[in-house]
Amino acid sequence: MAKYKDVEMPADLYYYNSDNHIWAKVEEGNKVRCGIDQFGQKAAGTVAYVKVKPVGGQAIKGRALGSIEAGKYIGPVKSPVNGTILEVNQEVISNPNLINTDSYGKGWLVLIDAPELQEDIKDLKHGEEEVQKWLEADYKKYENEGLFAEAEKKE
Amino acid sequence: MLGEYPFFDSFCAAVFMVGTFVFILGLINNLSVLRKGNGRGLKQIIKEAFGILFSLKITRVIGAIVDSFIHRRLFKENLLRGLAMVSIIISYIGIILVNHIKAAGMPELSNISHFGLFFYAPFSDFYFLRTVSPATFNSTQSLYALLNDGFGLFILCGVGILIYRRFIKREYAFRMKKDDVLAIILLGGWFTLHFVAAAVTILAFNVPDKIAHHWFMAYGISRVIAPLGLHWPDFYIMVWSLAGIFLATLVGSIPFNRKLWHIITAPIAMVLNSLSEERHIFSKLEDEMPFSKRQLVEIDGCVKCGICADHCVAYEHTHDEHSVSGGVISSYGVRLRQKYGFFSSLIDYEPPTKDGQELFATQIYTCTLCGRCKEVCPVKINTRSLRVSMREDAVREKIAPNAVNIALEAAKKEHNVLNYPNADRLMWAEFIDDVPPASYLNKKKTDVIYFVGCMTSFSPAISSIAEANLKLLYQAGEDFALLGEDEWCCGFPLIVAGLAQEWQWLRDKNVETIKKMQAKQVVFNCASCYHTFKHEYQEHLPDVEFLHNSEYIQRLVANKKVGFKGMKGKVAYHDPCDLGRGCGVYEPPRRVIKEIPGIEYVELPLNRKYSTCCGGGGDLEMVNADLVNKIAGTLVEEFEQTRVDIVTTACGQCKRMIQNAIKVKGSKVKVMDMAELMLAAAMERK
Repeated sequence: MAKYKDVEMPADLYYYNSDNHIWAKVEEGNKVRCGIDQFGQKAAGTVAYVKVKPVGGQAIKGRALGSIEAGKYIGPVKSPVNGTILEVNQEVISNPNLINTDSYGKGWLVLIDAPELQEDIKDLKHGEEEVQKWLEADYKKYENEGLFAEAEKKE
Repeated sequence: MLGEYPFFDSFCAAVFMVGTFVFILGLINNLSVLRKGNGRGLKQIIKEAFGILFSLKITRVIGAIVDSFIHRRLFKENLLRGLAMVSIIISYIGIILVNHIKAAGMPELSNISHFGLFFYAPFSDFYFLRTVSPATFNSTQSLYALLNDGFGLFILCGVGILIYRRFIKREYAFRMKKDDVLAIILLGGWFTLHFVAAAVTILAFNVPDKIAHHWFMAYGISRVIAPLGLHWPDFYIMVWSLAGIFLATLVGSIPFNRKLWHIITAPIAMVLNSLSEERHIFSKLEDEMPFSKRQLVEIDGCVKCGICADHCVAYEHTHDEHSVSGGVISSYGVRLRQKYGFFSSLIDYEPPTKDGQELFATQIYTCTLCGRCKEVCPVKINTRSLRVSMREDAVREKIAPNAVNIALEAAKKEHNVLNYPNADRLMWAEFIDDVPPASYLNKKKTDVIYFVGCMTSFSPAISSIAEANLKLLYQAGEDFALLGEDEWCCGFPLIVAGLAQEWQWLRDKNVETIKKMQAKQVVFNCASCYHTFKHEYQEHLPDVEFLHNSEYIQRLVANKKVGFKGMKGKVAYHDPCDLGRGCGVYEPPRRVIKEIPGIEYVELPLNRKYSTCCGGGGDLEMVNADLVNKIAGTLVEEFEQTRVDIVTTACGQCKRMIQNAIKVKGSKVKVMDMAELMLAAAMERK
């Protein structure tokens, strides 16, 4: 588990870039479950609306597979892989706050069938050391530039 | 002829002359700032002014000039305030005229040239009262005396009202500054001393009561002070000299005191703004400053009366006098003079600190640019355009908030300020099953383009507006197209952020796309896109008609392309700022809503040009999202007090703000965009 201040990032997940902070969990049969990581939800603020492409829609790496609107953010949820959307988490659509309260659990957004999974995840952040380094660098940058929507939560 | 003490006789006129000289120096200083303003040169302004004067009805010109004296807006806002201002303005002009006419006809001043007479005129009573006799006193002189004291009394009453409102009722939003105190002391002091000096002269020269009582103020004072039993001839020169010093200080202070200087600039700004509206001039880097000459006159014309604060949605929550129009304009007035004035190099000017500059920038951006202050400003200052120019200045000075740079970088990368992949601009349409994509996509030529706008395209909270519009257009059988990834941001968020030149590439691309598709009309659901196209695109697309969807829907209804099955409920319409105050579109949405059978239409208490902003404009959300939410919350309270079921608006951003506030407050009011309401009430075409 990578951890810095109030943000935790499980080491077994893959993470898609500093602008988007999407987590990707590789599941059986080239399937990838995606959501917004704890860092992303902290930067965005309380999520009020979520919309994702319908089942059967195409996910293109780096392109939007949905949109979120939070306290201080409106923008895309970018896909970390190429593929087809197999499942959409309806619970999070009706209760977007799950992204804030249970980022890696009930707050997942979509399940994607990614035929070229290994190729797609090559440039994603993975492994405790790499994620820890990345998290710290991003956290300091966001903190310095005042980009976090929410102040640090002290335990 | 002058009296037997030539030195003392001319002292008042001499100090007044010195005061006038200082006034002229100050005037040069202030004009040197004005000269540096961008836009049209002086010759062009004069030419245009004549053009305007001769193109308008004479009644409008007279109305504008008269209004600069009687301040109708001020009366409408506050009776006391209006009375104070009008008393001072009209009486001042009156007293100057009376004294000059009187002085010109006085034998005592017959050896003074016309130029010199100007300096003697304010002290005409000094010469008149000591030589007046019952044999020579006539009805004209009696009228002069009555008018002189009458006007003086009105001025003192005006000053009295200002003092009462400031110190007793404490009605002002702005704190008192040294400039304000000085202006009141000098204005009130000169007239008070003038009366006292005349009273002492009456006593010193034993002016008979039947003559003296015409100077009813001076005579009254003379009765009060007479029991002191002083040797009055020793005092009258002294008191007149003191009055002369006060007048000289008052006149000399005018160009250097914002409160006094506005006496000259406010009427000019009022007349100019009443006759024509200046289009915003985008500054260029090579310009010395980002303000036009008219804006500089407006800056000097603001007296910080505080009416803008009374109507400001941001001030209602921040109570920060420095960020409201009057406060920020006032700060600019001082800064500009310090930075660009003729004497600035002579004054030991300390430039603002970095923290001070950053705070100032935050204050400049703490505004929704809703423009309601413009509608109530007695000087009719174009506050919206002025605020945009201030933001242009902040960008030039590199003190603009970081969010401005982030927005610009996003626009450069993705052609929208949200950094949303522009290729996914039509993602919202993927949820629509009943409109075939071929009906609106990949068209090479079309009559109507539906310009969706960034916020409606990308925000999941309001993409339902785009869906409703699409369905409505399809059901009406219109030939229309969506631009998809070829639709770029219209430039609005960058314009209002102060990026004067760095948005025009977006406009050029959109113009090129629209021309290529040979569209005759472009329809918008976003009031800000519509505002930008109307103001900044029309000259590039002269043959294309820009319509807000409320106007377009009105035509669909009129042409019977949309019919209504009816709807129930109490419905109100909320005027979006950029559509209403910004473009003057007030009636089309109301007419359409009223067409729907079964609806009970109600007007909100603050409507049309006085409508309350939702908080979502002017990029305020980029710099202070919490304030935006508070503003929207207040608006929802206004809806609740009106007891409406549905509030319809005609702007995606308004809907977003209101919807969020409703959610936070747990309000039962429902908000719908025009298109959504129409779709819900429309009969499906078979």
